Parts: sequence; structure tokens; C-alpha cells
Amino acid sequence: MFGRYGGDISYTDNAVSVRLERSPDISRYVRSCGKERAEKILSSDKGTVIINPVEPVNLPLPLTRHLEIWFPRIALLPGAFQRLFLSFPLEIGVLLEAGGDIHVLDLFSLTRTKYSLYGSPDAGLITRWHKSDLHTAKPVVSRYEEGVLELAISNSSSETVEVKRTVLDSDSMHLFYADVVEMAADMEVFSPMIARTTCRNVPPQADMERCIELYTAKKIPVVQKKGFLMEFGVA
Amino acid sequence: MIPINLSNLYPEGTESYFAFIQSDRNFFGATSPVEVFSFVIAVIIAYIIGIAASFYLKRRFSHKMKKDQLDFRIKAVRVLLVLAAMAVTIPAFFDASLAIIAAVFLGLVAVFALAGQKVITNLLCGIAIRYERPFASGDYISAGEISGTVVTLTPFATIVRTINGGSVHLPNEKVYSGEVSNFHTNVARRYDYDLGIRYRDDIEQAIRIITNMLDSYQFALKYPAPEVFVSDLCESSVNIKVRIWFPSAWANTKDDVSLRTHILPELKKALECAGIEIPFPQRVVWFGNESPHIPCQ
Repeated sequence: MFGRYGGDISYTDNAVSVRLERSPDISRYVRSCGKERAEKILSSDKGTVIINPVEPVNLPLPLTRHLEIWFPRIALLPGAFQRLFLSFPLEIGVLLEAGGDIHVLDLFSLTRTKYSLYGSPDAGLITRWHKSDLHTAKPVVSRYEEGVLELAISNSSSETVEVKRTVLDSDSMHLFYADVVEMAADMEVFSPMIARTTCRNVPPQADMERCIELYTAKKIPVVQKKGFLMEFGVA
Repeated sequence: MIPINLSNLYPEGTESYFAFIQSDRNFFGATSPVEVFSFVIAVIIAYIIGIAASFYLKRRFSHKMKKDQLDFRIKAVRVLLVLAAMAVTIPAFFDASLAIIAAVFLGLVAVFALAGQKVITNLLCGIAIRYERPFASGDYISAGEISGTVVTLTPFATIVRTINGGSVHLPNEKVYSGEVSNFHTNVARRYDYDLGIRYRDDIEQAIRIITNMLDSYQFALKYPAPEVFVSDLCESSVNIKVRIWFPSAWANTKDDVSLRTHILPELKKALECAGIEIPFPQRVVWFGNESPHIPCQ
């Protein structure tokens, strides 16, 4: 399903069906996913349709910019470094590229959305919540439901810190896909309360395709940040 | 060409007026009629430039700034343009004698003091609200009996759009001196619901069903986790209290009724599927001539 399409699209599996029928007068895009169905009519057969994963924080409503992943608690000794593999939920964007412009045609997801609060109601932030198992090698995931996050955690503090969650800012996410969708991030723990997460902008493998992020497609100006500072604890 | 003597068209005594207008004599301090004319033209031009500038600023910044902040900046730009035009074209206009200025000023003060007490209070409260910023446009607030989304803050009133689509002008004095709740300040809000089950129903099972249902409800926050507990033993029911946290940005788009219609039918369905019912009020009545013992069937 992921890729660039200059002609018709016809994809169907057990969970989702995507169809684009082009004709010179009017093109029709139809997508069904569970009980949900989306239909769009396009005024011509011009343009390239791109289907790729986007930052998983947009559905069902754009209430947050942050993805929070909970995983089994892990104790990091002072100065320790640990490479972990986690899963993260996927949202799939259908983008129409024409005349130098990228338009978001459709967004859908095969996973259930759940929100959470990171921090306190007065100073914290709403996050898209996801629970993952902890892996030391790349786990097998359902291609259109979950992606793989490679998280490199380092403990810069002088005490042992227990970590059970990470929070990533969608403005700095970079997704890549081949057989599975992947993302890589670093998490530097400064204390049990403070850590910094940064998403890497290099593909985890050489032959992976770069995804077009939604903030690029929507032409939202994003100030390049040096990651996200977790100020409300890592456990 | 026959010269027209304008003074013939007007009653006797107006000749001196026309002679004055056509002369370079000063009629207001050191100001000549030419200066007054250029002053008026400059103010009109500044006004037109202000309109063009406001159109440009709206187009350029409307997606980057909140509406009331942008409106305030636009008004400031327009006022500054007019003041600049006044200052540049005719500085001598303000050379009126101190006595005249003092008289005009005192007159204005008297008028405002007598007729505009409320207006001035509202204006000052508007400035105070702008300074303290208890809310901004787009925030969902509750002030007195009015709840709604703040549309804009004018110098004299706060305009609120209620949940049913109405528009309410709240005088700034009432907003500033009264209690204002801002539901946008915090990112999450808690809602409480009460559910009654029968005495013979399994309480633990009911709590488990409600907790599972809330876990699958996407807008109920995972953390803080919903709280479900027995809050009261009433005449006809065991009351279970349900406390749920929602993202404010979502909950503020709903009124209390629409929030309930989202949650309560789902909870009722989930409980009924497990054979747990919400009881009707009931009362056992004993008559004096009856035996209090009822045989068990």
C-alpha cells in the first residue's frame, strides 16, 4: 500500500481497502477501514498520490503533538547505555502531490487511539498514549498497524534511574519505511524527573524510503527543535 | 465671465466670515485655514492607509495570532497613523492658548465624570483584563451565569459565544469584579457521573465493567486513570461514582448534556449486557394489621 502512485490504486486486505479511479473529468478516491469510510472526488486525473505513514498524533482529532510510549520498567545504572526496540502506533496519510503543492487527501489508522496526560493538569500536556513491550531486537509488528522505534537510552546522572516511558515531539519525528515502518530516537536521562528525547533524521537502514511528514504536507512552519524535554518524570 | 459676489447670497454680516476664510489670518491659535484643510486631508489619507494596513496585517498574521491580539495591534497601528498625520501636517494646530486647552479638557472631564462613570469603569477594567490576561480569545470561560467561548475583548465588553450559538456582551466591569472560570487554562478536565445499581447486583463486577468500558473510550485519559467507586448506599440503589479526565481541548467543545450523551448510554449498555440493572426508586410499605413476616418463596 505504501508508495507513490501516478495511476489508479486498488488495494484491499482484511482490514482496509483503498481505491482511486482516475478519469480525465473526475477521479474518485474511496477508502474503507472497519466501520469508517471516506470518499473524495478529485477534479482531474493529474497529480501523484502518496500513501505513507505520518506522525501518529492526528487522529481522531488533532489534540496533541506528543506521542507517549509506556514500556516495562527498566533500571539504568549510572552512565549506562541501552538500545531498546519498542512499537508505536501508525497513522497512514494519503497525500496528493500536484503543481508543487501537497494536499492531505485522507488520514486513517488501524489502531485504537488513547490519550493521556503527561504531568499535571495545570502544567502538563496531553499525549497520544501507546503501550509497548520491551525488545532488544527488532520485533515483528503488523505492517499497517504498528511501527518499530529504536530507542537509545543513556543515563547521564550519577544515580540508578528507572525508566518506563518516553515522550516524543511530532514536530521532530522522521519516519522511514521498507517492509516495516521505523523511527529512531535518543533519550538522555539527566535525573529521575528530567530527560531529553531527540528523533534521528537518518534512515535506520540504507534502503528505506523517507515518509512525507504531515507538517511538511500542511506547510506548517516548524522551528527546528533540539528534541523534547521530559520534565515530569521518566517513570 | 461675470464675477459672483458670494456675500450677496448670505444675510448681512457674513461678508466678514468669507473675508476671514479667504485670508491668511489665524482663527485658532497660530493656525491658518490652509493648514486646517491640509490637516483634514492628511487625517483622511491616514485613515485610508490604516484600512489598507489592517487588511494587509489580517492577511499576513491571521493564522499566526489570536483574533483579539491581532485586532488590538491593528487598532494601535491605525491610531498611530492618524496621530502621525496630525502631528506632521499641522503642529501649529495645537498652539491654541493654554486657557482654551484647559477649558476643553476640564469640560471633557466633567462630561465623562457625570455621564460616563460606567463607561470609564468598563474601559479601565478592560485595560486591567488585558494586562492580567485571565483568558484569551478562543478560551471557554464561565462568568456568572454565562458560559461560552471568548470571541473578543473590546475596550468596554467581553464578547462570549455561548454553546447554543448566542452572542453575549459581558461588560468588562462585571467580568473583572466577578468570578471567572477559565476551562482552557489547564489541559485536562475532570467530570463526575453517578450510576445506581440494584442491591443484589455484584458491585465488583459493575466496577470492572465500567473500568473496561472507559479503557476503550478514546477520549477518557489513560492517566490520570478513571476512578470508579461506591459513593453512597441509597434507599433504592447502590451508587457508583465515576470520575473521568478528558482533554480540555475536546471537552470544551461539548456542553454537559452532549458529554453525558457520549458516555452514559455506553455505560448503561455495558452494564445491562452483564445483567446489571439501574433500579427504579422503590419502597416497602408495611401496614399495622399485617404480619411483618413474609415467607420466602
